[in-house]
Amino acid sequence: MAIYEVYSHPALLRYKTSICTKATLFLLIVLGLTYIPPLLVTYKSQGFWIKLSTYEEQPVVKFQYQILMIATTSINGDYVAWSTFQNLNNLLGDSLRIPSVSVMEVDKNQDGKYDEMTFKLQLPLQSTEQVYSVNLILGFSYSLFRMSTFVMQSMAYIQHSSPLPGSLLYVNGDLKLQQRQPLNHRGLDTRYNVSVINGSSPFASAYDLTNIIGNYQERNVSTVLSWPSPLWMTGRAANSPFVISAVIRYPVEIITYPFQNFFNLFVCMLYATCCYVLFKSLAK
Amino acid sequence: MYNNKPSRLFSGDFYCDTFGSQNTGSGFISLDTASCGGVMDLILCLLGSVLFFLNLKSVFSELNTTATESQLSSNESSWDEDAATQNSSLPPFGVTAATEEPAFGSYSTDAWATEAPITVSPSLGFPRAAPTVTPSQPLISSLQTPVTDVSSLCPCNLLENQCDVNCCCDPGCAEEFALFTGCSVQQVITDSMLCSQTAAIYSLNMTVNGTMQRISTLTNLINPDFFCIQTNNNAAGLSFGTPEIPTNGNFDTLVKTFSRPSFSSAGTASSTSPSQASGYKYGDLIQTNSIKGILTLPAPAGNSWCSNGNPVGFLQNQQAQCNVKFNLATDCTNLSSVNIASYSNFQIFQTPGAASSLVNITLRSVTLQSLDGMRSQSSVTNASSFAPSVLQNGTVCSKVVLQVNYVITYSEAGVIMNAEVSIVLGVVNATPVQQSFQVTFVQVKTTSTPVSGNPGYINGLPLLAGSLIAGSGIVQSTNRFGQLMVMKSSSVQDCLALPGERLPVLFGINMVSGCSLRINNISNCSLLSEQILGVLIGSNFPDYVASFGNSQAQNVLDWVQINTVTTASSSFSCNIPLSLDLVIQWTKYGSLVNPQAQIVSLTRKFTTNSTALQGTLQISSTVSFVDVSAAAQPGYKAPPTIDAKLPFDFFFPFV
Repeated sequence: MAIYEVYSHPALLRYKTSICTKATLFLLIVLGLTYIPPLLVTYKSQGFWIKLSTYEEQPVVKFQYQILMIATTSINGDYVAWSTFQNLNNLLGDSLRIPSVSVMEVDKNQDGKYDEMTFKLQLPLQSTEQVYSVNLILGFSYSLFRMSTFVMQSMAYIQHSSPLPGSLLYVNGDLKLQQRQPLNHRGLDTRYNVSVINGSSPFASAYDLTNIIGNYQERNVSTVLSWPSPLWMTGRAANSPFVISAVIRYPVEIITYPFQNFFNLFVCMLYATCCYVLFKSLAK
Repeated sequence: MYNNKPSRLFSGDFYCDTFGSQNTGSGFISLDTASCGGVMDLILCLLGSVLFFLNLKSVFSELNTTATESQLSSNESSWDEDAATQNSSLPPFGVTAATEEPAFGSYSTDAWATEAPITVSPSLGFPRAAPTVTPSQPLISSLQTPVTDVSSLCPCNLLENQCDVNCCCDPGCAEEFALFTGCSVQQVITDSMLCSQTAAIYSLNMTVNGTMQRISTLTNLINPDFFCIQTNNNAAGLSFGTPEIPTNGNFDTLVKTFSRPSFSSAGTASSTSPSQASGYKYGDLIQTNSIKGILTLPAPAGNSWCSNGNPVGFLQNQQAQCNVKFNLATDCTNLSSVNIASYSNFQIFQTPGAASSLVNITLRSVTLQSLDGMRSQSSVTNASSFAPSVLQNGTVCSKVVLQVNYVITYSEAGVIMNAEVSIVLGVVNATPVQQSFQVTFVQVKTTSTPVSGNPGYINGLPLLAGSLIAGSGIVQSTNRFGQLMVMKSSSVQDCLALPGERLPVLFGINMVSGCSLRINNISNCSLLSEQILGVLIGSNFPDYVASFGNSQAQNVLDWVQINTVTTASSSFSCNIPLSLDLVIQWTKYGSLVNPQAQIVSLTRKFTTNSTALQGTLQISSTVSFVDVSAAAQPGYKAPPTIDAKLPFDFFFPFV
């Protein structure tokens, strides 16, 4: 014979006690255990209130075709120099030495962002000249779009000197972001969208390396060329040029930004609720 | 390189299209959303939709499973490594890289990053624009249609009518296969995003007689990816869009849209365009009738050598030190940058423009410096009598310009009224020579005295000090950098032979300097002690120091007397001071938001020798600034007293 449900209703059971009983005490303890441990747990775990968070993005880096090159050509400090800034070239006078430069930027994975730059500078030298040290500044534009739109003009600084006269300086490194403070989580940030070298200035102080690097290091967000070790090749044939060959990659960066208080509140509530549920179930 | 996902730019179209077609085909979204309510439900709902879609997708995949599927499973894990290989060696076509590993038959993930370009044969390309174009006609009339037949594509075939080594798909190779060691291109596919497609696979096989033999097969490849494209409704979404054909009309806008920074010769034109205004403006280059046309002041550009072309900007005070190297024998008389004439022998235009009147550069003073650094003022006669000359068989060059100091007086209309130059000429026997240059602009009929702070001292500015003259207040040196000075270390380490140069004490900058004293006999102790004291404190050490950076000389109460403490040990017959320590105690004064530095005391401590005077002694002077500010104390106002009185008739009817 099949059985079927005819009717159902919930039953309410009431447990009553007077105030000064063990049951009241138990009830109070359970109540305390339900609310206090979640708070303690969330407070004591260090991630209660997050101030910083990170995200990952490959920057949009474009070579600005700004180059400043100074090479020492004797142990007495004679030098030749060249830049893409006409005002500086005018200042240099007889020390101006125009090299042949080739630049190629490649988007390897076809994602619309350039991944690396190949730079080659061939500095013609007279047979009496030898290169002992090189200063090279390359200007880039560096943009991030994921959280805040951050646009800046940055530089890669390459410096190497050697007691031995060289024929080739080979650099292969990453253009890394250097953050002293977190970026905004939204909005447009063009604080540092100014040229690293003020090429419109006719004054020599604008091209002084201590000024350029000093002003650049003042920035809270900048880029630095991280190259494990330079390759300095010696042995240059007479009348052959000194070559600077550089491969500069634009890697994906981990960027810190301030975690928003609203999300913090949300996370904390979630956290406390979870703990509450856990302890509630334990109390039961 | 790391981010192998296709960009939004290129892939947006077909993602939307393919997914959209499948979603609308199933029609499940509307069903689920109907039962959803609230935010959480919406999230769950979306999650459910995705899961549903994934199930759907796997069904599609299963339907297309072929016998080759068993080889496909483990390719996902090698994604990044393969991508890296591809990035370093792959030509920009969606073709498997030249890995020698037996990746044959497998669906290599190498080609996944590239979706579109495989459809274009490398031999095709786009025809170049003819150099002569009739106006209003497009530069490119028609574009060739891309080839999509994988069996006819061969990206490694780079030599026409000749066999490319290790290029297994090269139609020009026949007998040469015997020489191959591997296939640089192992498979050719059309689009890596498709779930199922035809692929041309090339491999080498060793024949029984030991030679290599090429094997080429056409197979159907199955993509194991969840998100592969099953059916492509929008074929154009998988290839690049047709570019806008440049014409004479839209050329400029296209350049503006697509141009990127590049090498340009645009900046070669001279940027100094002479303005014809009635007066100079801030930063304008000052025009002269010299060869250069502008007033220049040598300055270092990028290193320590002098660049002679550095211009002087109107109202821009400049100060620079740089080195000049020349051959003493040959260049002494020829080099213009060491010749006094090139700094004084021209005239300045009062206002920009050649029509304005000229102002002579007045030679205010010429100082001559000897080889040992002694300076003497020369009676100014004429710049031409100070031309450099070679002495002592070309080993010494005299009257070399060492310092140039221009003072240019201007009116409030921007007109240059007067220009003066002070020059230091020296005798030089070694190069490089350091030259220092300065230009200062002074407004006419004004006398400005710079202060070291307003009111509190600013870090890096000199301390103001002077001596009290009864009745006339404090008397200071006119040079504010010369009021309180300490010894400067020099290349001559002997204390008794130090040159007169001293270092100014700058606010907030701690210093140490010293010299050495070699004692042979201490016959005249008091004389030695006096000499060392003179080295330590200089010729006239001040008595008072200003407590604020702008303390007035007549206001004596604003000045702090300098204390002197001497720690002497009486056990020796001869006591000479070995060190001078200036301890400046300063405090922050005023409000917390804008504290001002105030000097509260300056103590000079002399320490005399505590041992017998023997051998070489070190004489040193130090300057130390001590912040003695009291910490800000929390203070509270007394609680307000409530002075409330009830009206006298408040309890009227009762009391």
